[in-house]
Amino acid sequence: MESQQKISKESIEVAVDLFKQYGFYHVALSNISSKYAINLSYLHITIDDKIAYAIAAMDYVQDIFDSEILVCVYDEAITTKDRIIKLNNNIKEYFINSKGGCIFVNFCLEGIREHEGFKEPIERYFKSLNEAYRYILSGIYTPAEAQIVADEFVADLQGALIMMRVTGESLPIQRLSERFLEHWQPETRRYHRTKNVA
Amino acid sequence: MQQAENRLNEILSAAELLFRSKGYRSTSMADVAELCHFQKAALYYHFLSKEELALAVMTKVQAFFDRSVFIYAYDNALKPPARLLKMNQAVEKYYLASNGGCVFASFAMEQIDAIPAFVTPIENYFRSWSNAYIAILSEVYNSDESHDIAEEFVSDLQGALVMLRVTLDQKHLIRLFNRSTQALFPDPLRKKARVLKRPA
Repeated sequence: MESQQKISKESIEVAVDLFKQYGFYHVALSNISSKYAINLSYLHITIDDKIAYAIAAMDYVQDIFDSEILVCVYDEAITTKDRIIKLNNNIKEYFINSKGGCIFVNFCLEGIREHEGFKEPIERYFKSLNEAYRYILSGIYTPAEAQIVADEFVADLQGALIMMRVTGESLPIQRLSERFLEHWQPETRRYHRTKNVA
Repeated sequence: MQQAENRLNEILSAAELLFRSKGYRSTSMADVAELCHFQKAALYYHFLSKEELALAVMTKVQAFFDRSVFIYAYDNALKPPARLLKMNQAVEKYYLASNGGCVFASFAMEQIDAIPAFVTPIENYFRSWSNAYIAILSEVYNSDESHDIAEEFVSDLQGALVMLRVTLDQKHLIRLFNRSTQALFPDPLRKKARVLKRPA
């Protein structure tokens, strides 16, 4: 049992890597088995189909976001500014230092949100990002303002990931990180206040 | 002749709809034929492969955006805010008219590495977006600034379109349009703070 769980986790990591690079439809279970150097029939024993693999891959990525990437946002032991720098670095590191884009965005663009089982993990991912940004922004904005800015940043992050894919450069995400830090400059904050009230 | 042209347009419209809502991989030639009420063989009379069909759809969409969206960016008879407003209204109309995303973004995420022929039309599309924003922003900002802000808006628009698909809520698009309009009336302090660094 322990061995099967270990194999499953490793094969899910392979699946995440492939889904991030090629999306859902472009990846076959045989790709996972060959990259994982395991017999395809054995793969079917651990998880029975590609949809189940995709759901497991989303859960795996969500866990990384919850436990490693977004967790710094809630760390009251460090200053808000340090938390946001850490959050930016974590996000940049995750997307820049790994092949492919965002598994959730890939799945959305492929229109598989409608598949049973996909909707909840995709919505959970965007909600967790949104809550993290909102939480950190709540230190400098009213709840309503923080919600708007958080909504915008979650959306802008998805655009940056797409443009990173199109251009093959990390500039879009670096630029977005700089923009997020601008919120801690008083003149920018004043600008956002005016804009959001308008 | 007219009938053949109508049929071709019908195929391209159906394929565009499917590619925008399902992406490239999950759209089959059979799906397109079914939506057009054709036999699959009739579809192959016009397009030898799905790749060829996808390239034709990209050409069609690019031509639509050139003709119906980007044209406003270059209309010197209008002031920059009016040009941007008309461009935003055209974009809104295009994306809210159907439940689909950007065909170029979908193809980029799915296929850009796998099908070399897709790379140029995808890059051209995003470049034409940047150029359109630059044409408007350059009336307010210097060249570097307008280039950077234009690229941000191109990127942010894609993000808004993803979120439109995730949430089925058009607020992301509307907020982005508001932000782009605000950019034409820069706060002097913010403008100074906005000079973005490019990596060496």
